[in-house]
Amino acid sequence: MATMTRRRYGRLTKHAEGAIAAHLEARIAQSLSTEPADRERVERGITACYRFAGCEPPKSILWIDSPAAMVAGPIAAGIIDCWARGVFIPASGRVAEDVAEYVRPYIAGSVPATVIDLVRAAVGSDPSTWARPGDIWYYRSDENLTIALRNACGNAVEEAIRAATGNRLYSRLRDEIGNNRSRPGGSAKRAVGTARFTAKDDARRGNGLPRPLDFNWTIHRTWDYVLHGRAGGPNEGDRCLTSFFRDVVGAAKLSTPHEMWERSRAFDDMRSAGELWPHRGFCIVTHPPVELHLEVVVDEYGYRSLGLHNAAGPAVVWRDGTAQWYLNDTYIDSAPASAGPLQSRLTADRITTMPNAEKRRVLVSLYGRNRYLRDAHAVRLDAEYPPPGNEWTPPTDVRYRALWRLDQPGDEPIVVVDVINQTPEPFGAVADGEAFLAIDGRVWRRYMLRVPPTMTNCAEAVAWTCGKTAATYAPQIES
Amino acid sequence: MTFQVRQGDVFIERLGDRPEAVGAEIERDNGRLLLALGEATGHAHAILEQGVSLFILPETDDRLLLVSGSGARLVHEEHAPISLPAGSYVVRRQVEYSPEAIRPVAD
Repeated sequence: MATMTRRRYGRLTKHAEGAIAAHLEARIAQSLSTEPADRERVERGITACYRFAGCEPPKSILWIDSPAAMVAGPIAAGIIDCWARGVFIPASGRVAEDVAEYVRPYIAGSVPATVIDLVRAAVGSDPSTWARPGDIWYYRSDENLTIALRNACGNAVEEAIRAATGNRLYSRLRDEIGNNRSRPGGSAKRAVGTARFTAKDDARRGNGLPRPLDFNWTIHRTWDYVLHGRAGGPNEGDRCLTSFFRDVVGAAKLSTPHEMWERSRAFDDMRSAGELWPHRGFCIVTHPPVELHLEVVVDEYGYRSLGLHNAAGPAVVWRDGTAQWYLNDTYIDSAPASAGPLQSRLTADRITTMPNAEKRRVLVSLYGRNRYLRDAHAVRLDAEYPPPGNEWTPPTDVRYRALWRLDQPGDEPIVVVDVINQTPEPFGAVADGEAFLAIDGRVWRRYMLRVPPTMTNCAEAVAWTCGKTAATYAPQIES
Repeated sequence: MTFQVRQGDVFIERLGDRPEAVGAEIERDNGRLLLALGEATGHAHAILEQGVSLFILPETDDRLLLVSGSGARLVHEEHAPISLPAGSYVVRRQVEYSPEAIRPVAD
């Protein structure tokens, strides 16, 4: 029997090589677009992907406006799970009402009741799908179905293209796209890592119960999941490469079965809105955000990095008005857009009592470092390598550190040690701001850490932060 | 003085002897051994090499780091890498004071 063989497409044409960067840019722009989703396209993609995965298409596709709604499902599922395990006993006996009561204050009416109903139906019908305490953030979908969709419309296509091109070309392009793509999606990718780590840590410590304070935090993380899914997902590099061969090189040049290209189109269509919660029988999908404010940073090698940043308003706004505020890619809070510019909401007291050192750093920069210290009535108790001048003169030596006392009427004084990162920033362009020390074109981050009010000098204060005394603290390397 | 290093808010000190009471081993996250992770930034103090293990030290927030073979490199997005020779180390998050509790520096 004669067999037909077809040569591998092992080398790109000059035209295709030159088109890689533009294709990547187009994918990133598409990922970060705030245009309304094309509902027909997305729903067509979902239906097709379910079929390619060998499943009945969902009977209903539910569109939700924001991650607030995304979070309601996991919270509801988490509560039901905790209740089922006897960890959390509702005041009254009717679970559904208790879940609704618990969730309602935090979602401010932005979640259709059907979301909670659907999720409750899903978790109630099959105990194996219940979220484990600590994993409630991940109760987002039917995991087996999610994997089936990815296998059928993502992995299968990628393997077919790899077979048609050969490992060498495929791997080279994947690395090239991965290296360049990772930076624009970097902030989201990092935050997803944070979410996973924190959830695991919570689970280990037994902090699985949903708490009111977790709500904004969870929205923030879930938003990162949304962007992550669109711009920086673990398989986005492969999807980008798939679309490169399909749309730029040309599907006809490869011996890949035609159906594989249909699968890849369906997958792109399905993922062209926000995040998905696929379930048997129904699928929840979010609209994209309506506003997204990013700052562009170019490092010394010319790589572009995008970070969320907007001091005048939220960096992310959703269709239902929920919003998240970021400064220099650091999450600040989830105040509504109507709250006004961040600067007008800041006081020295609010900065001082903020428990997160990174947030304090960027907020001090926005407020003004000396203004903050003056408004907080700070007195410098000690300084090492101080510049000539007075306590308000900016330092000129990276070894500078200072101890400040902020008197609090009717309360114990707040004492903070003012320190400088010992590694200069790789990104020169973010150096404008008082959260940094700039010397001769290089910049270092500055932090203020609170220490016990009994501290009297910098050496003992810094040693205390590491659980040591001034006599026993002497790191040979600091970076 | 024992061998000490500090990378941002993570302080590491070499131990003479491995502690007897050691808690659960901490799993890797996508191949990375995470010593600490920033909540607001998502940046991580991490070790990529194999042959390195991290354990909970009971009744403290510290960790026990065991480095074998040719050593390991502690990396972070914003800090210069630090090489750690083979040995046992205690890993401690820098802490901050608050009237309610001493808590790890959150970033």
